Order: sequence, then structure tokens, then C-alpha cells
Amino acid sequence: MPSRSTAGAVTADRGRAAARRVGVVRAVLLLGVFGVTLGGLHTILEGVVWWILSILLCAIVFGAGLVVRAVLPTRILLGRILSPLVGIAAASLAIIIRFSADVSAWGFVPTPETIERFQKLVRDAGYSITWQNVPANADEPISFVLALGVAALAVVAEIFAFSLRLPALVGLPLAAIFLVPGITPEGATDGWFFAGSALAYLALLLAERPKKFLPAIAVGSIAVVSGLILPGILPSTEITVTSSGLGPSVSTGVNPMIRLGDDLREKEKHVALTYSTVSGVPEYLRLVEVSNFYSNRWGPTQPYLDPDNRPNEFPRPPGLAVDVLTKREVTYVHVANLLSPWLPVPYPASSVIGLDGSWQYLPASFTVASNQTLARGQNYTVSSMKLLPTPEQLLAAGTRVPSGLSDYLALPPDTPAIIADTAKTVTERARGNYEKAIAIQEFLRSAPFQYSETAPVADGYDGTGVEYVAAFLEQHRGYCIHFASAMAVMARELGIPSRIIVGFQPGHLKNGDDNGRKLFEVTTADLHAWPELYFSGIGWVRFEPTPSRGSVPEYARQSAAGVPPVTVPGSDPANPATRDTEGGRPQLDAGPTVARWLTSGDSTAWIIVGGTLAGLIALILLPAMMRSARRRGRLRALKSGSGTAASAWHEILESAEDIGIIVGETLTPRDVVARLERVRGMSGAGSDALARILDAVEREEFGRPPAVAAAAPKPELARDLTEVLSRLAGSVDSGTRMRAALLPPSLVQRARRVVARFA
Amino acid sequence: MAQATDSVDFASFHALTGKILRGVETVIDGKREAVELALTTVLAEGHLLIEDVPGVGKTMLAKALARSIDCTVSRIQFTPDLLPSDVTGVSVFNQGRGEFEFKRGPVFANLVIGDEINRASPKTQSALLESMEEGQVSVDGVTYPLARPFTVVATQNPVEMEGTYPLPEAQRDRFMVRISMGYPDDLAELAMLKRRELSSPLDALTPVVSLQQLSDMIAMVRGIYVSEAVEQYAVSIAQETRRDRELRLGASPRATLHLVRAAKARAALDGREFVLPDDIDALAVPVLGHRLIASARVAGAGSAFQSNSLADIIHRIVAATPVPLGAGASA
Repeated sequence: MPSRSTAGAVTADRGRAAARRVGVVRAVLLLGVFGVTLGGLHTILEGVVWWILSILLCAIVFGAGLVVRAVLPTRILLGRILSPLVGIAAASLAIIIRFSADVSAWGFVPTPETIERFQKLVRDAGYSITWQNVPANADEPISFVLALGVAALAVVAEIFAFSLRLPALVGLPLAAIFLVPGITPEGATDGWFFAGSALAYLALLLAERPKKFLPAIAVGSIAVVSGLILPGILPSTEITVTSSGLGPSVSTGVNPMIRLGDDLREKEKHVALTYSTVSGVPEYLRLVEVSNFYSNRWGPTQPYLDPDNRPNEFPRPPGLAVDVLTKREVTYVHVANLLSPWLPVPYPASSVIGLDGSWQYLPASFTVASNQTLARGQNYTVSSMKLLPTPEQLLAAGTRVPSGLSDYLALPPDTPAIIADTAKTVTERARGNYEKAIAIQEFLRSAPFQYSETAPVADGYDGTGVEYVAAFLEQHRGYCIHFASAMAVMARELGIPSRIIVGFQPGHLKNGDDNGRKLFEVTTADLHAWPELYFSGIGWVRFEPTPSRGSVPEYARQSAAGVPPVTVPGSDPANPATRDTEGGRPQLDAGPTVARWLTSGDSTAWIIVGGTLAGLIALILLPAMMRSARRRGRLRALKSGSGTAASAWHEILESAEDIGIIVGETLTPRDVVARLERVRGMSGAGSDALARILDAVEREEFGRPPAVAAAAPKPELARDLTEVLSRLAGSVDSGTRMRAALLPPSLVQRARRVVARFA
Repeated sequence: MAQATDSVDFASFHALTGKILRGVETVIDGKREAVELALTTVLAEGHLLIEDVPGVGKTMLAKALARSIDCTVSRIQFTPDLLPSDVTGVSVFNQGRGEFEFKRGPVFANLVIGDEINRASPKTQSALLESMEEGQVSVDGVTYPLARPFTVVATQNPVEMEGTYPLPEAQRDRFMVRISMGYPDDLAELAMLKRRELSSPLDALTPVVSLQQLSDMIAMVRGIYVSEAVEQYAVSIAQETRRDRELRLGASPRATLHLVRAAKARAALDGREFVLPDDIDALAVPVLGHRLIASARVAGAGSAFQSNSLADIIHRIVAATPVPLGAGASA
């Protein structure tokens, strides 16, 4: 049989060479490198679901490459070309199934609707990225863009590592991942993940080129160092924006409350905008309304922007009766580098003109937002009506609350009792909502309350949840967020509709003028939050509970005529709290690391990390378990009599394949035996056992079928099989044995056959 | 015929074939494989084509095989002027009886040795080959059955030698097996010289198998079991030759039939009662080699001994065809 002998001399060496060509080890290392590197994105994305999705995509891309190279054992070049293509196809399929199964035919065939969905996701991702602060919630659109990016980078890595055989270049896609936090405003590169990823990368370089140790180190070091330096020297988006002459950027995002403290603590002030008014009087400029509780934290509603609500004409402000005096004001606003989807406008605006892009007002809050453009660089003119309610009118509002404002009265169920208790104590002697509001404002503006941007951080109550409000009422120190949310929550406890507005306090007079008008400059230090309370017949009215910030409106000023006096126990109106200047800036910006996360005492962190580790280990052991279950099942079947000689034969074939002996399906059983008998240690009893199995399988497969199907147990066949398997395992070194057990190539072959059967 | 297997058991089959092989090998030195293939062909009721340069023992092999079996043997030396009636026989007028009488030609024998078949005109060639296929001869509207068993052992010189009419592919297809003798190695050649110093060893050869025994052996070979898997394997190989880009002409269905029948004989010679894929593998080149035509690119190397490159192609196809084996995944 010359045809067989030509394919003859096969040794374990060739098997190992085949495994190396397929690149199992390299692919696993590559997956590890990507896993660690993508983990570094935790500084800009919340949760772990996005990471799992990304790593799955990487696994799909690299796995597809492995399968292609395993399926094309002789066509190496074709395999190199095909593997990235198949990787792209597999990743695309996975992305389609994950993001558009409901609009795709059979769940995975793209339809025009799928394309529309993807376009929408990309568009939404743009908004989502601008509207969110870091760490951002990895919502559907962001996950989609991330998935696209990760899949693309994985394919690039696959091409570098396998098609071009230049694993060192994998550093390029890795550096691209590292650049993401670097160019994201406020994003920080996590040093631990960087170091881990660099190590994993070096391991990848060294794993398969032990002989070229020095060059690998050199190439790796260059890549690592450039990875470190590149983010530093590449222009970040902030600098890019600055080049438009608008100054350093100030970004707000969808929930400016979260960042407000950071912006205030920032020593360096950035100009957010300048404005002038016709009357020359400075104004509060509102950005966003914060009125809802999410679980127990304040948060803005994701706004529904009705395209018909164009801000060139606003409706009448909600709740405003005709008898309230208003004063018309015109404000000219020049926004600098404010990366905000919200437009700074005074309340209540009646028209905004001169805007670029599509902007809409929100009828409830009178805020102006866009989901397509940002406030930066806008120059516009706002007509507004300054509300001048008299104390009498406010008093007359009494305790009446019109219906339809229940959203502004909602409180989380676990609101600490101290808030309601304090509110009741403070407003003991007050009649009507107006007097109560004044009482709360004065209570918060007086000692022992102190303005401090750092104390809440240092004492761990810097947040927007109700429990932080309670802590603030006990600690008496905080900044605008705390004062505003304390007043808003207390007002709700007393049945007064309330909301928090985040925006800018009036800012400072600036040298120079705007067409003859006084010019005011608003910086990041002017970011502010204040409460608005609702009074029947007047509508939403601003209060200023934060000491030393902003200005108290006329109708809420103790010194003004008609405003009811309040006496708060222990308060000293003559000595308002002063801004806390002691203490340095707290070390907050280190950014969360896994270590910090784990030491935070949050047991869910341990559960997640433990579960992930257990899952990873299970994943690593999965092929070994599948393979071993198969072997045990065959032996059991043979012993019980239900097994066939063919099953014993396949077990031998697969075991040989696992240790790198190539026994393709084109070989006859005799060819295979001829090959296996050359294996070291396959002599004597092993050879005899092999011959008996061969005889059994030939009789069973090709012989005349017996008249009566004999299902007799074949313990001797099981014994022979065990003998042959142990000889096979004994013929290779322990390393090969380990690899054969953990990553049995026969599983891939088997999967390939299954696929071929269906294809 | 189905019961005929009973008349010869494996032991006596083995003993008889052993005797034949040993006898023939006293004449043909060092050509075990060729001798076995020749016997395989006889047992499978096929016809044998021995192709090689003159003087390597083609005719000797045919004669030795004929001598070993106690059956009627005839020999036809093909020449360009040989007529079809010289092969099949001719009707002559018997004046005594006043009627035409058929005079049987040399083809009426159990073993017909056709020497240098490619030296005869195509017309004469086809006369023999038609009788090979049909097992009968028709002359003047009367059909005469040929003897049973009936085997033609034809020899031919490589086609580009002078004065040859190459066998058309349709006629090559009628031969079950084509073998090439090849030159003997130096030891075998030396042994041959010594043995023939005094007399021809052919003369010493006596029949070891009777005609009845041969018929029984043939019947036994027919009863050898061929599993569906092996049939499928043979069909796959044949199909692949038809698809292969290096081949202009693939294997005919008759070739597949011959392949399986020859494999049965080989299995029986090996003492097995069923055919293995290995039998198919081993016989692929001898059975298919002379029927396939390589595409121009491959054939360019040397048309006479294109068998070499054809053998490579067949080896490649066989090596790439999966051996059918039960899944064996579960009971």
C-alpha cells in the first residue's frame, strides 16, 4: 500500500508542530491579554457586562481563527487569509444576534431593519457618550459601539498574531484600547491594568519564541513604552476643542450633579460662558432639572425631546398666574467650551434665538436640550421674564398644591426619619408653604451649617442619595448639592413640590463689554445647584439655601419688607457660615482599582470576582471534562456490552490525535495500526491489544453481519482499549500529556466533523 | 452457485492458491506482487493485461499461470495481418455433409493468451475483446458460448513502440487488471540465469488445480462478503476520479465493479471472508490505472509510462478519500 506509506512517518513532534501551527497557546494568551487590557476600561465604563461581551467577541474571533487553521491543516496560506475573514463573519454574526436578533430574519440574517437598527445604535451611542459622565453606564448603544471596536481590534490582532506572524504588533491594537480612557474627558488610565496587560503582552511574546528572548524583550518594551507615552502625547479631545479658541472644555453630561463637586474642587477654573443682560443685572443660568429619585438617589429624567418644542417660542411658565409681576429681560449668551447637551438659560425663558443645530425645550422644567449637538460655541439671545412675586402673593399660596405635581413630591421609601423630623422642628412655627420654605432656607444658611467642598468627601457622604442628606443634616458641612437636596427633600417631606436645578450662579463682572452692556463671566467655579419650590398661582420659585453662594432672591430675603421673620434654634443670622478653606484637596482621583473595589467591603465584589474566577477555571477545564466524559462513557459502554468496537476504535483515534499523532479519516484501520505500532512503548502486550481491537473493528465494520446481534459485554475489549490508551499516553512527555488533557485537539476535529455533516 | 462456497473451504482454498503461486514463482523470479495480481484476476473472473517492454517475462507469466491450472489453453500471437476469424473461428463448407460447419477459433479455451495484442489491427482486437465481454462468439448468425471459466491474459508492448495499434480506452476498460512486470532486480535476474542453464523451468510445471477446483474457488470468491461501507468507499474513489482535475477520463462504473470483484478475490487470497478498505486501496492502481486518462498537462511527462504519474494521481485520490467507519459514538 504505497499510498499510505507516503503519508507515513508521523511523530509526536509533527503533532506538536501542528498544534503550534494552529496556535492554541497563542490564541489563549491573546485572549488573556485582551481580557486584561479591556478590563482597563473600567475607569470609563460601569459594571462588568460590557467586559464579558467584549471578551466573548474576542474569544469568537480568535476561536474562529483556530477552527479555520484546524480545518485547513495542509493549506497554511489559505488558512492565514481565511481566518481573519471567518473571524469577521463570526463576530458580525454574534453582534447581529446580540443587538438585532428581533429585527433579523431567523435571528441572524441581516435585513434592512437590522441596518437601520445599527445606524440608530451608532447615532444613539454618540448622544449617550456626550450625555453621560465617566464612568458611563454601558447602555445598549455604547455596548454596540464597544462591540464593533473590540471585534475590529481583535481581528487586527488576529491578523498580526497569526496571518502575518508578527505577534509583537499586537501591541498596536492594545495601545488603541489604552488610548480610549486617555482621550475621554475625565477618563483615567488604570496603572494596575496597564501593568497587567503589559505583562500579559510580554508573556505572549515570550511564550512561543524562547530562543529569541532578547529581541522579544526589545520589541515588547518598545511597544509597552509607546503604549505609556502615546496617550500622553496624542492630542486629547480637550486640546482639539481648545483649538477652536473656546478655551479648555467643561463637560457636564446627563447628570451634572455627579461631577459638580469635582468641578468645584478643581483648582483651575475654566471659563464656561460669558453673557450680558440688557438690564445689567446678573442672572442664574439653568442647565438641567433634577427631580427624580432612582432607587434612592437624585437623578435627572432622560428627557423626551419633542421636535415641535422649538425654543424660539416657549409656552407660559407652568403655574404662573397673571397677577404676578414679571420683568422682561434679554440675555446674550456666548458659550465657551461647555460640553453639555443642556443649554444654559435663565428662568423662565420665553424665547431663545440664534441657536445652531436642533434644540428643544422641556415643557415641565423649561430647560433646553439637544440630542444632536452640544452647547459649546453657541451664541444666542434669550428673552425671559424675571418673576417678581410679592411675599403677600407667596403667603397667599398657603398650603395648596395643584394636582399633577405628584412626581415632585415623591420620596424614596427608605428616606431617613431625621429629615422629616428636622423639617418639622424647623418649621414648627411656620404657617403655609412660603413660611416653611423661608424657615428651611434660613435654617440651612445659618450656623452650624458650613459651606465645605471637601468635608462630605472626607467623611464619606458626598453623594446625592437621601442617606447622604441625612448625614449632611448631622454633619452640617457640605456644598451646594447638599444644601439644595436637603432643602428639596425637606420640602417634599412637608408636602411642598420641589426640584433641584443644576446650572451656574451669576458669575463675575468681567473687564470689557458686550456691545456696551456689562459682560459677566461664568467659570467652572460657578457651577451650582439650588432648589426650586412650587407655589400655587406663582409656579416654580428659586431659593438659595447654600451659604456664601449665589444670591438670595428678594422674596426670600429676611431683610426684605414683608418676608416673615424666622428664628431657628441655635442659628445666628449675623454670622453666616463661611466657606471652608482648610484642608487640602482629598486624594480622590486615584480612580477605582480592583483592589480598592475589593477592599470597599462590598461583598458583591467578592462574589463577582470569585464567580468570574470560578467561571474562568470551569471554562478552562471544560474541554478536558468533555473529553474525559467521552472516554469514560465509551469504556463504560464497552464493559456493559452496549459499546461497539468502532467506539473503542474512535477512542484510540482521538487519543492519538490528542497527543499529536495525525491519524486522518482517510486512513484505513490497518494504516492506523501500522502508524501506532511505531509509537514508543507500543510493543508486546500493547501491540497485541491493538491487533485485537483492529480485528474486532474490522469484523464489526466490514464483516458479514452476524445472524443474531450479540450484545455481549466486551470487557476484554475495554481492557485492551485501556492498555492501548496507557501506552499512547506513556509515549509522550508530561507536557504534551497535560496539553492533550486540557486542550484536546480531537474535540476540535469532532466539532469540525459535526459542522461538515450539516454543511 | 450460492452453495458452491461449501465445496471449497478456506483451508483448501489457501492450500490450492499457495500451490499455484509457488509453481508460478519457480518460473517468474522475484515478482510476487505481479503473480498474486494475476491469480487475483483469474479468481475474480477478470481479464488480465500485462504491459511492459519485451523480454521481461510477460508471456512467461501467462504461460506459467496456464500450466498451473489443468484447463484448456490457447495462445494467439497477434500480428498486423491477423484476421478476426483467426481469433473467433470460421464457418467452412463441409462438402461431405453439404452444410456450413463452424470451426472454433483459439478463443474457445478456458485460458486464452493473447500475445502482443496491440500489434493486431483494431478490427481483430475488437473481435477478441467483444468475446471477452460477452462470453460468447457470434458467427454467421449463430451464437457459440465460450468455455467457463474464461480468462484472457493479454500482453502488450508500450504503445509508442513500432508497429503498434494502441487499445482504445473502451477496450482497455474490459481488462480487470493491468500489471507491469518491470525489470527483475539483480539477484532475481541472476537466479533466473542459473535456473535456465539446463532447461526451461516452464517444462517442469505441472497442473496443480483441476478445472472443477478452479470453478469452486471462483464460486467461493463470489461469496466473499462486501459491506456497504466498503462498496461506498469504492464508489467514492471512482466518483473522485471523475471529478479530479488532473484526469481527463475517470473510472467507468465497470471499473468500480471490477474493483470490488478483484477486492473479493484479494480478501479470499488473504484468508478473509470479507473485504476491507485495504483491499480496495491495494487494487486501486492495478484496476484503475489503465482506464484513466490524465489531462494534457500531466500526460506531457511521457505518454507510455504515464502510468507513473497516473499511479501518483490514484494514490493521491485514495489517500484523500475518507474510509467509512461507523460513528461509534454510542451504542
